[in-house]
Amino acid sequence: MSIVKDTNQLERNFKTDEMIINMGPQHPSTHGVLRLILKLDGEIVRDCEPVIGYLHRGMEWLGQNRTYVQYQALVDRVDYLAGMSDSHAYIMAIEKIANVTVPLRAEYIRVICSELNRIISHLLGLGIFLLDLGAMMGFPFYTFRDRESILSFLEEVSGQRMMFNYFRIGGVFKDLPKGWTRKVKKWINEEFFKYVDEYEAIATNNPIFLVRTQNIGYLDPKTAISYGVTGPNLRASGVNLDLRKDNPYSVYDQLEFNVPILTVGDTFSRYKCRIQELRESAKLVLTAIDKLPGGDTEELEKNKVALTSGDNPVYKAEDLMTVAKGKNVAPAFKCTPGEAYAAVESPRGQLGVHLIADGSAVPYRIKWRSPSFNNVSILSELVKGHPVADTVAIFSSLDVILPDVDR
Amino acid sequence: MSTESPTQPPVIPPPVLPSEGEFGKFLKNKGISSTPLGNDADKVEMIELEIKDLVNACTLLKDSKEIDFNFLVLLTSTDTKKGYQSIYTLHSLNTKKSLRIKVTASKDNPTIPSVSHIWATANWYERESFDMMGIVYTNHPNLKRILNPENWEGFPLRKDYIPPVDLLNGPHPLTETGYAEKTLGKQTS
Repeated sequence: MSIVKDTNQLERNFKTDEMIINMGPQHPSTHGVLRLILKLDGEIVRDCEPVIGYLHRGMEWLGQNRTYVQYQALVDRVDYLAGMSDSHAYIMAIEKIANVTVPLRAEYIRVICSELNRIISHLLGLGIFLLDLGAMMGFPFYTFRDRESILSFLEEVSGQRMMFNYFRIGGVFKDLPKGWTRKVKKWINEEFFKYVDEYEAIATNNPIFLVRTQNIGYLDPKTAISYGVTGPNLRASGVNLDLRKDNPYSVYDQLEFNVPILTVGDTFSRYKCRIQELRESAKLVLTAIDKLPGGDTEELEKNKVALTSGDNPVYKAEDLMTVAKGKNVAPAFKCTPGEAYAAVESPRGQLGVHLIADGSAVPYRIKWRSPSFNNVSILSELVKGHPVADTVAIFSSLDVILPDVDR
Repeated sequence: MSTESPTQPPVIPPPVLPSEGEFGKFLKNKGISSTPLGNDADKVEMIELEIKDLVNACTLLKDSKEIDFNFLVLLTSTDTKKGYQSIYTLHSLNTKKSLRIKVTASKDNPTIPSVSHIWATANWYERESFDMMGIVYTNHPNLKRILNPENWEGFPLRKDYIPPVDLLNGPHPLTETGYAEKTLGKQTS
């Protein structure tokens, strides 16, 4: 007589207990310090609560206790991979309230630098994404190699590799170095496009990569909008929201570029969207360099008189400056009272600054709308029903920067 | 909690009273009165609502087919003379229009109804607003500190906030437990 009469019944009554597992804060795949409290049923995630704040530096409090000009040097640290976008949003908010017009040449330089910044941010994001999936086979090294080239371009411009502090109220810190635009154009045309093809050859058709990323972490457009997700994460779900097109700031309305929109909305399409944005941003840099008023600094020095004089000058003299005339702000710059919300399309989404000025040299209220804050809040929706290993892939595909979440 | 007024007024009121804008008129037709605050530097309409009208107005603005504010861009808070203010920046992805709603809660009892059931974005933003400004959002599913440690003392972005003298060597904020819960219990009861 057997003890177990019905094995099927045994299987039916078999229960796995749910358990709470703590992931992070010091986890190598959390891009900084993010803590996830996971409720697991076996290996399946049933619920997830992100706990943030480990990198909170009080950016808003610091801003309200410093003058406008002092705070400029700090804003690059909000999202340390997109320092140009951070500065751009902050400076634009001040310029909106104080009603400062930026010279055309300075606007083009801003666009060129912001787009190069977008490329380095995506390169790091893609490299880390594959690293998190276990791809130590070279992809991260390739992206970091190419990122280094752009970092040195931006270092030549601003004097810093990552914390640029390059944008000023009314323009930019200084003009581009001589011969810089030629160098960037040559690098993009001869090397960068080839490199992006290389990345795709390594990753996009790699069967292991596809199995790990396709059909997981679906983000449907309605949930995404409700949670305020922006940037490539939203565009991979088929929502056409890009501030560069919808609410053109700077000179984006004078430039032609495409915004890649994908429809699937899974982890793979978020990767694919970033790869396509790499090419589009590189093309946008080339277009902006071609249309840069005055051309390279070398040519500008030679042709400045010819361009701005005569009966029908090509440009007004103010257009070719780097800082608006008479707007070289003093250290104790006082912003006129007012309220503005300035937003830019950072590599991670809509990055905005809500600024309330009361007429003194110190901002009354600064609020950062950091895209990563919203992007990480959707994580608990995305990982439900997936194994723990997929949690890492899904989180990594959101391309979240934790200092940007915690500010 | 102190009722001391901040040192400087936040926004100097414009000399001419602003007229009613598009969305102010829409809400008036639905029976909700609002105070127009003019436009900001971006020509975005700003209105001030009564606390009791907030949830109603937000639901109407989101569900209305022609206005359709489906995107809560930003929820922030500020410390004004009148009280603690909660500021909602709404945007529509279809009509590309924006609106800013302001709601002021008194300093003695800063409670504002939560809108997290209307926009999921508000869930974390309201937690941050509670953490930084001490505004209590009623009916919020999970109102607790989000960026500061759970037992942090005080609300850092209030104008009368005094930061700890020595963060490195002074008493550690985690040694006193349950501060946020105590504060929350005091304010809701």
